[in-house]
This record gives sequence, C-alpha cells and structure tokens, in this order.
Amino acid sequence: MSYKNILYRLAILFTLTATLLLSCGGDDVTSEKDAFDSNSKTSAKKWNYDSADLEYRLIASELKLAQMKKTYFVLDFKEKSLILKLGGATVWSYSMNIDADNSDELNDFIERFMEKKKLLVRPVTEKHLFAATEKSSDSILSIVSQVVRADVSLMQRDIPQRFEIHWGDGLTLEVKTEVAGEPRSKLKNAVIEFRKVLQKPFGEATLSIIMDAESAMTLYRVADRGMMTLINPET
Amino acid sequence: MKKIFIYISLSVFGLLLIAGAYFLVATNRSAEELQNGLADSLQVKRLPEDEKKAKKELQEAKKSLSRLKPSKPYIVIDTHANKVYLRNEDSILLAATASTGSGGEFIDSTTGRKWIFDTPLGIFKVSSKIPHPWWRKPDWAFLEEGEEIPKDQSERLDPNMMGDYALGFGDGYFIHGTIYERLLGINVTHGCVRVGSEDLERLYNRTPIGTPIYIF
Repeated sequence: MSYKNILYRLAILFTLTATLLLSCGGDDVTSEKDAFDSNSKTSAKKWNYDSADLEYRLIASELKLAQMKKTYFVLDFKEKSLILKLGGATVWSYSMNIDADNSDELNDFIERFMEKKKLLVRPVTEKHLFAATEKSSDSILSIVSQVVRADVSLMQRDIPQRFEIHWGDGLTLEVKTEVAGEPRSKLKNAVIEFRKVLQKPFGEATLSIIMDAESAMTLYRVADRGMMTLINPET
Repeated sequence: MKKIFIYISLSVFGLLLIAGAYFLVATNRSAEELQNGLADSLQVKRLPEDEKKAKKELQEAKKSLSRLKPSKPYIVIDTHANKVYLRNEDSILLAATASTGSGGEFIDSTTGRKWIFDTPLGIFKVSSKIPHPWWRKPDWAFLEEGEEIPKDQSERLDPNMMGDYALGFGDGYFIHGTIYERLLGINVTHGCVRVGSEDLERLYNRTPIGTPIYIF
C-alpha cells in the first residue's frame, strides 16, 4: 500500500468520523430543541385556558350573585356540597353523598344545566312539596299563638318528606328525608309526576339526594322561584 | 255500549294528554321567560386569551371574592329552622336553637299604625354588646296588651325580658335571652332573635363588636 493511499484512506476515515461526530452533536442540539419544545408544551399544559376560564367565570358569576344581597344556591360538585350563600359567605351547607352508582346521573345533570349558552347560573323556576309533616303540634301552637297573639299558620313549619326543586328544561333536584309525612296535594303530586313522564322524550335530568329533616326544611323554605343557582361543574 | 265506553275512555285519555302537554309547554315557557328575564344579570365575560392578561384578571377576581368572605368567625341566623350559628367558611363553631320573628302583623285600631313582626333578612354587624340589658318596651308592646302608651320613659323599662346579654344589630333588633325558653325553635318573636341562656353566654363571649351577622 502506497503512502499516498494510506493518507487517502486516513482522510476518508477522519471525514467519516468527523461527520459521525458532528451528526451526533447535531442530534444533541436537536434533542435540546426538542426538550425546549416539550418544555414549552408542558408550560402550555400548565396554563390550561379552559380550566382558567371556567374558574374565572365561576368567580365572576359568584361576585355578581354576592352583590345581589340575596341568598343564592351553589351546587358545588367539586366539593360535593350543596351550599346556600349570602354576600359571598356560606350560611348553610350540606355534603352530598354521590357514589359511583349515580355518576352518570350526575354528569347528565351537569351537562343539561350548562347546556344553554354555557351558563353557570340558572334561577329556580319551581319547587314542589310532595309530602311533609308539621313541625309543632297544633295544641302547642294554639297555646303559643294565644300567648304571642300570632297567626298559627305563620308559626307552622312543614318538615318535608320529599320535595323537588326545578330549573326548567327537565332539570330537577329531588330531596328525600326519613320523615314520615302526609301528601300535601295528591292531585298536584299526580300532575307533577305526569308532567315528568311527558318531559322524558324531550330529555330530563334528576339528581336525587337524601337529607336530614332540618336541613331539608331550610332548603325547601329558601328555594323559592327566582333563587339564583350557581353550578361548579368540576367533579 | 262497549263502543261508547271505549270512545269515552279514549276521549278522557286524549284530553288528559292535551292538558298535560299544555302544562308541560306552559311551565317550560315560564322557566324560559324567567331565564331570559335574568339573562343580562347572569352573563359574565370570558377570560382574555392572552395568558398574561388572563392570569392578572383571574388573580384580581380571586382577590375580589376573598374580600367578600369573612376572615373571622361570623354569626348566621337561619330564620327557617330557628337556629343561630357561629361559624366560619368551613365549619360550625356553635349551634343554638333560637326563636325568630313570627311574621304576624299588628294594627293599632285608633291610629292605624302597623307593625310586621319579621326578623330582617340580609347582612348586618354586631353594633353593640350589652350585659344585663333592660328592655325598653316599644309602643306596640303596650298597645298589644290594650294599655296606654306611657308618657314617662322609665315606665317602658323592663329588666327581666332580655336575659343576661344582648347583641344589637341595628334598628332596635337584638340577639338576646328569654324567659320563654320552652318556645325556642318556634317563630314567636316580634323580630328580635331569642337564644337560650347558656348558648347566649357562649355567643356573647366569642363575638366582638363588628362581627358580621348573616340572616336568611
């Protein structure tokens, strides 16, 4: 092998090695870029616009409700709580027992609640007391009413056995207690049940919960038509 | 005969169906109208798409909301269940059975003056704390009993009616004690909030002047 030939082969080997090394280096550079890209993707993930927007709209809605100086209702599915608030402060709360069995029911309810214009707030459109018992006996009230000269009916409190709160569009919160009550109006109960059957083809979502009697009494009495209800849809 | 019976049954069923459908449409329309009527007050703008601006706006909104929430324990009066609570955002520190306004009204037949005995709803603050309070009987207290309104102011004072402590929250309304503890839990008052003596003492000792009171 001639001297020139060896030099020529060495030159090729050197060129190949250099190319290989450079290409490896290039790979390294590319990897860093990729890493940078992937970092920026991670940072984009951290800033989730949709989640921030939802949080912002929840806060903005609540600020509006708090300024109204009236009691408003919060269906907080994130905290699994039903909350009554006044001026931004919690005045009543109830932990919901939502198990895996009724998670579909819950999702249907949330989707239906937010369906229109992606609203987070809806007013209560109706409530209906199916059955209840009276808190104080008539004899006690008649004595008290004579002492304080007050109308007995004003002092009477219904403890609900079952009632419903409606938001229109087939949205219903059904509350049951362990109280053994009497139907308030059999005819109206039948009409409401019949309406439910008719509503079914148009879609409906009912959330059913069991509550202690005292909490149910407060919620039933507060939830009048027009009461604003804010939903936190995150589960 | 059978045919007539079938026709009648079908007619009744049809009428029921029509009535139900009308009821369904009417209630849904009524819900829609209520929703539309409140649409402006329910709408909120979306967060700006620019990340920096969005983060700033979100932060400001969070601050505004947290400013509304009481940072210290506050009093809640549930006029529906006749309960008084001392609570913070997450937990109840004290729960007491109470008596709130009866909602009744009294009209003085001579002058036509009218009183409605409701506990006021809304947000208030503890404006005064009075140990051993004396009740200064208002006009209606005499008129209800068929008595004349005294000219001498000292005749209005009653040292026994309000219990050991009173927490005032404006316009002559107080959270105070009562000699009628057996009536706690029933809406029997003329607007004040009555609490049992032991609960009242605990509440009095734990609420400084300025404590927010939320009545619903």
